[in-house]
Amino acid sequence: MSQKKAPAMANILGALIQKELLTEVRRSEFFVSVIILSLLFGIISSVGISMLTLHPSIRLLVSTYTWWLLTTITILTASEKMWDKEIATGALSTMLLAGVRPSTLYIAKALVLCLGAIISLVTIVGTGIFIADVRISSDISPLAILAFSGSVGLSALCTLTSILSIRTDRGASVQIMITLPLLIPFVIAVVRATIDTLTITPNETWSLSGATSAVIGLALIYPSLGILLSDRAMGDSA
Amino acid sequence: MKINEENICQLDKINVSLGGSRIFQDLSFDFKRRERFLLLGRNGSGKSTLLRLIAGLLSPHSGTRTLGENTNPFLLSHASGLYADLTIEENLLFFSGLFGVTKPVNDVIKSWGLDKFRYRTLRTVSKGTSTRTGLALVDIIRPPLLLLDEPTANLDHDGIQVLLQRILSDQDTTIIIATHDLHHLATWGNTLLLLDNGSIKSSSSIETKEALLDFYHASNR
Repeated sequence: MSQKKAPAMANILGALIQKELLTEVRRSEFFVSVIILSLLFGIISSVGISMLTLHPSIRLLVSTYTWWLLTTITILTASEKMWDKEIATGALSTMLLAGVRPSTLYIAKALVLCLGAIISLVTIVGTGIFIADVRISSDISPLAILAFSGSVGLSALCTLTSILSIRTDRGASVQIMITLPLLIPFVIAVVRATIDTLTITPNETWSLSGATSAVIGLALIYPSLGILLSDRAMGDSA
Repeated sequence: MKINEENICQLDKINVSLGGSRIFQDLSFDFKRRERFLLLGRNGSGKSTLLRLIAGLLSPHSGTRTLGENTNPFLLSHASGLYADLTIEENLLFFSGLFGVTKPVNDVIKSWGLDKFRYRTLRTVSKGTSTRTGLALVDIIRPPLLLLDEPTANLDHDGIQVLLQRILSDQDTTIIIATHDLHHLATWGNTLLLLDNGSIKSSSSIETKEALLDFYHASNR
């Protein structure tokens, strides 16, 4: 006999993430594209930076800006097609009919995109350190917090705007249009915060700057907005 | 909003427009519990749209669609509704889990003739096998309100027989089938629905059914 019992949200989330990773292992689409794009961006920008005669501190600033900008472009590009498979196969409809809340789907997709953002950032920064000889001498913990907050904010925002643009005929261009006003302040804040952290001298201790607070704040606001808006935004999109 | 207990779904003055053209205008209809509805209509008459509306996957511009208590509809449309990169077994386990069903899938896989394909991804099997997998999921979850859009389109003779025996004979389920396949389904169902110019003509007696079928055939010529 079949028994029906509504699964807990944590179980649904676990199943969704497992499914995302399993299909990724089979198709090697998302993470492989992120790594290839990040490597390409990283190598091109690092070679360019390495050819410039710059003071090490200026080189660090230029590199920081480039790293975040390229990670942003990579994640924005990856997020444009994140619902295509679900819509084309009708799997999105089936999940909604199963009672899976769009906000749960949003969280699963945002988590996978966040993992992609971290991989992209590590690849681009790694390439920069290796090729452009950029030296990071400051404490790594504040940088790790920033990298994590930045990745969460970026992925949460791009996943949200991909849902908001899902119902439009020109999804990709609409997504970019609605993402930019929210994305630009975030990228500026995260670059500023990274520079603040990287330019701490050995005698100084790290403290929460205005830019860092803004990054952490937005990294909390964007996922909350995504969870709140996705249920409403995904109404007729399946 | 509560609905009459004998109904499983009520549509009240529904208006839907898609791509600038009006599909339904003040459409009202009561779908009674445990009835079997055969939904006919020409291409573009709105059959699939009506099923999506009943399933709750499409919101009307105005009017209300109300379901009875504990009525979770399930729609199997032209697309399988499953993941192309998961195997047949993984799809059945994944989606039945989302529906909260803990039934083993082995028996259903065998019943639908999917045993030799169970470890193959849907991407690598035929459309007919994909449709069988979607129907196998229906067989597992047994929804109280089942909406099928052209379920026989990709099925061979054996597949249609399994569909008729395992799903369409279920007396506890309210089933609405949108189809053009009168060869296999003309005698199935107690109520014939014909979508024409955004409204529903319905019939449940044999005489009026024949009249409605004549009208449908005439409109298709």
